[in-house]
Amino acid sequence: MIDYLWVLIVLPLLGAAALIVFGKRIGDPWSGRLASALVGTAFLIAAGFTVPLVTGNGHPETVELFSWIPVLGVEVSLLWDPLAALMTLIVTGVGFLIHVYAVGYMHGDERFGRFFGYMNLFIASMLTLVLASNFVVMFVGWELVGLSSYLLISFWFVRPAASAAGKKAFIVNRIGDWGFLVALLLIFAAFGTFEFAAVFAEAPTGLTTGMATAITLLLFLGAVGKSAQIPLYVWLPDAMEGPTPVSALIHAATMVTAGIYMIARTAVLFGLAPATLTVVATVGAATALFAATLAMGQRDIKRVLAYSTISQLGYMVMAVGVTAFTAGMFHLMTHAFFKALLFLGAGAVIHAVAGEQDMSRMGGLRKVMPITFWTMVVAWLAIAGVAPLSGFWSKDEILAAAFAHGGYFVFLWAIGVVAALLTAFYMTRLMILTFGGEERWPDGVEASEAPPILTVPLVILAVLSATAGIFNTPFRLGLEHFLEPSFEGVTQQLPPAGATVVALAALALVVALVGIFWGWARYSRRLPVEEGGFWGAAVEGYRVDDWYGRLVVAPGKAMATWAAEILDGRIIDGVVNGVGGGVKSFGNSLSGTQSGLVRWYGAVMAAGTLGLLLWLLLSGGLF
Amino acid sequence: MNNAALLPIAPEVILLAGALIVILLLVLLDRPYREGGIVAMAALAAAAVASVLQWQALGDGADNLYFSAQGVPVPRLPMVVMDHYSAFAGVVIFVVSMLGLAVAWRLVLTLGARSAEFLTLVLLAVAGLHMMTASANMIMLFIGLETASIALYVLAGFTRERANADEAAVKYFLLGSLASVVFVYGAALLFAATGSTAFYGAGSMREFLAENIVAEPAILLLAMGLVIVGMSFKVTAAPFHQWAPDVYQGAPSGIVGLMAAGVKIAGFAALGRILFSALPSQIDDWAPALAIIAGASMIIGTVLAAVQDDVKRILAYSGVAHAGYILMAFVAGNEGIGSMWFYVTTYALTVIGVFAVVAVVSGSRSGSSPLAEWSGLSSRAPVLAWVMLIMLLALAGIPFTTGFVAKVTVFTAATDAGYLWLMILALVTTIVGLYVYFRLAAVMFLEGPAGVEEVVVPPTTALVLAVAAVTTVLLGLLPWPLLDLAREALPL
Amino acid sequence: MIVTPGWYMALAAVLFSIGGAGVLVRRNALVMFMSIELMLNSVNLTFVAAGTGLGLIEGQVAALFVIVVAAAEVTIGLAILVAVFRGRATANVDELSSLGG
Repeated sequence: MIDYLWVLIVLPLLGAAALIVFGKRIGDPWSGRLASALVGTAFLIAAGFTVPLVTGNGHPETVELFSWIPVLGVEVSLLWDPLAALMTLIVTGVGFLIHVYAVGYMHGDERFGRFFGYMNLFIASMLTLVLASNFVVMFVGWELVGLSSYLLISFWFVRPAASAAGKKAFIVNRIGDWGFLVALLLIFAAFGTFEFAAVFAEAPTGLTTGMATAITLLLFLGAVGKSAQIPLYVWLPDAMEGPTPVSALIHAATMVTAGIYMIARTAVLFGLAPATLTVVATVGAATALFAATLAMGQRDIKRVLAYSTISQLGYMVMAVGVTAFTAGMFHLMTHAFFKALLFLGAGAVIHAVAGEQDMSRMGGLRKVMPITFWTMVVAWLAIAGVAPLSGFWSKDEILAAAFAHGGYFVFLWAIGVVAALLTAFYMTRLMILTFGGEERWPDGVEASEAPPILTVPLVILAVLSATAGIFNTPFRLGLEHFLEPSFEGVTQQLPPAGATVVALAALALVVALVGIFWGWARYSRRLPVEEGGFWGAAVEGYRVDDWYGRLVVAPGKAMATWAAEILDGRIIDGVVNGVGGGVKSFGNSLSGTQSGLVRWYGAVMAAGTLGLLLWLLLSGGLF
Repeated sequence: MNNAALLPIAPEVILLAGALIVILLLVLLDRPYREGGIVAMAALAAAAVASVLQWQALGDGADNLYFSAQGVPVPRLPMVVMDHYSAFAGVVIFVVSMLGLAVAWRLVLTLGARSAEFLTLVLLAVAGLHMMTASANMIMLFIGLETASIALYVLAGFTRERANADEAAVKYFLLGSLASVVFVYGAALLFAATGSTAFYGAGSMREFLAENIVAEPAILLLAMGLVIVGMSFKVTAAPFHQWAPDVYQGAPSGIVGLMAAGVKIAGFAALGRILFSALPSQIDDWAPALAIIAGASMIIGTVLAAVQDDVKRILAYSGVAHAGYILMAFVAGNEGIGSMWFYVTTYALTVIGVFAVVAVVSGSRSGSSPLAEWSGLSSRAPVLAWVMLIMLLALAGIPFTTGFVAKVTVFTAATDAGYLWLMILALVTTIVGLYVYFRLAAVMFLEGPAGVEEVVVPPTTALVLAVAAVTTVLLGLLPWPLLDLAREALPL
Repeated sequence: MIVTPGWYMALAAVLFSIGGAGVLVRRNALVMFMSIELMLNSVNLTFVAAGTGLGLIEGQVAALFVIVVAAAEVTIGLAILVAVFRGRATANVDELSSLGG
């Protein structure tokens, strides 16, 4: 049976091919239904494959498809183990719900078919990444999710902002991908193979700490790009220009977690590099806090959720940084549920108020949209960390693990607690501004509850967000046992036992309630004026983009242009052209000193020749 | 021992015969423009078949060296070599030329009476290019080089009515002649240092260098440097690349693909012939020099491609970068030949396709192809835009295209040879290069259409595009057939 | 003093350099081309001198071929230059710079 694992990837891939080519002909709503059905089928098949792993009869299996680059021993092969199974179920399960939702949400869009083609392409790419059994196939998936993400962000490319956001995501991610690529190279140099199994088996004995640190730091750079951590997080808020289902699927539930998945997958290597782990945990904690402060100040509902996602990803990164890989994966799962729910709910709200995304122009939607409201309440309590909803269990496990890691990491734990407080606060702010208070809708808007095709996925996700905690409570470590085969030979940080864990949990709960109360007290009666000072800075994202522009982008561009002019010898030309027609005669009179192009080319050739000859003679020891 | 056989020079003979027939047709028939094109095409096809027959004959144990001064017992001063290397080069050059001529078909029909000249020049150029790869002697190689170059100088300026065309021709001519002189001076110094102009046979350069200590090592080094410079010019490696963007921009789009792809194949093949066959003992001297040229080409090509606003110039600078990647295969010596062939072949097919799209978008007679003309191509001609995208992905080296496999093979070749720094540099420029191709793709797919006029793809061009796109993807997925052939195509 | 072939080769190198300098400093395309011809002749001198020094006929044969190739180059080169001169009434290469960028 498991030999047919490739069907999981091929199903959405076929859908993508069919819909990109014939999407227009199949049309609205059948292209959406086809795409949803394919992803749903993939989910069912994946669930079938998972059963033996859960009952304990199965074991991790590698499925070899064909040999791709025999010279390098690169095979196209897939790996089915609990970690891959968990990710596959999240991707296809949440993906299916979001597809269904999108059938309703994208109704009436001109390029409806094309949209679902891209969505299926994304699912296929993500499954390639998740199911890969070696670094090369993983990298292929890694790049393909980047491509489909880019296509979907700039889906409404007629909006300049959408097109720019797509480009930004693409370019920023290249920095991370560069790290990933170089890491692959070093891995091949060190092990002579790309296969996970071989690399992980040999790593504990065959890898020096220095090399392990280099490899893992570069891998982490890849994760920083894909999972939107400091300093490469800047693309994610802008990515909200894409359609809301895209934000839910790619920029909250699945793709951005690829970095966490990659670190968990290569846990063996990270385990050998303590220095890297400290960096990872620090970056994660810093991102969690930093993004939470930014989320507090946003007025655009989707940007709140975007910064919230960055912050939650920070938690996951912190988890893998303190070697609590299971905790990280657990939070990845619960976060997929409640963050997808939040985004889809936000989408329903935005639909209801005619595309308005500014929360100061919403309000009072509770009565109009009861189903959306109550499902969002579940998500709100879950992300804020109120027991017994899922977010409480997963976030608490991460914080407890960080605390148990001891030493410096207790400081990171404290940062995590502060971020949790802010999380509860800004989510409460979002809920009250959107659903509470009086109606502040734009003129002429008649808000009403969303149709069932939007609300049914919301309800399912709400049930999952509420109950997913039971998979891994301190009383019943289900996920821990399930994932054990994937983390063989990896030392994991477990939460402390006994009274400590209860105390930490109680503290976390108190912090969540304080945050909620703070938000309640501030927003429930009237809208405070939030301008200037911190609020102004937060809305602008602390002007980080601006600083990047000044410090990185502009000098880079200037250097490229400068190099171009020097190398092409057209400085004088540039000056002449730049000064313009009036001064042309002056330029002509200067032509005696201005080198003509052919001769300039000749001169460069001559210089190059002389340089090469000189170098040859020098290196030949003849000078 | 059959010294003067027909088979080794069959491709050249066929092409020359074809050229003569094309001219004769002009006298015999009324307006034989289409017929001339068909004859030229048939000649190229026959030449390709001849190369395949050469390959088979070699499998049956045919001799390698021909037209020697003394044939028995050991050939001395052979002029022509027939080996898997030259046969493979022949097939690639002739097939690519057929594709290139198919792209130029429209141009040929609009040239009227001058089409015969045009076709003759193309056939002579291709014959020269192949002669470069099949010569067993520096002087033969030089004659092939000049036959090809002189024909190409004229082709670059062929559409006389445009002012840019003659400028392109003059630049190409002056700089090309300069490079040829440098090359032949290198040949002369090699002769002075080793006492031979032959690559093979009794008393050849290789034999001399293997058996003797060179009296004047400095002259040998200078000679090698000059030869490398001459060939680097032809394959547009930096810093000898500066003619390429101007010439590509000025020459008629219909023929640029052939110029760019054909000269690169022959140039690399000839450079490989000299270095691998005549100077293998000096690898420690020439490999580092090539590595430096390769590194410079990657950096300069990639950086300058990123700031251009004309698609032909972008492609020209991208060609500079790719020349750098291909040179990476050379530093590995004999081990790199297979990678070199694979890269050169797939790159040539892609380049022909890319310039075919340029010829459609900007017109086959025109010179420049400003980015603005490409804006919104996906909505004006979606199929064309997607085909272009496939080829851009290949140029960028994205997996599942030939470009990726080609890059992987040359990168490994360089790494195995111990040039890790070059590989890392190549990796960095590859990633920077993504921006170059992505930028063009973004213009095609994300910006509003530049005009409303319909984009007409002539049937011959459509055929070329289909071949280029299919091979780019197919050989990207299943590269071994070509890789195996390429690894067999070793010089004697 | 005996004038050995080495001296001729040195002279050729000097001629080659003079030609190269001529290509770089002269603006007239025709003169540039003449400089290239000078370089080609220095190549011939090298071939012949080396052939004499080594006692091989090949040097002189090679020189003959180079002369033929040079002649072919001259015809094409002059044709191109004449075409340019007709269109622009100048042979100054510095005025041929509309391409570039």
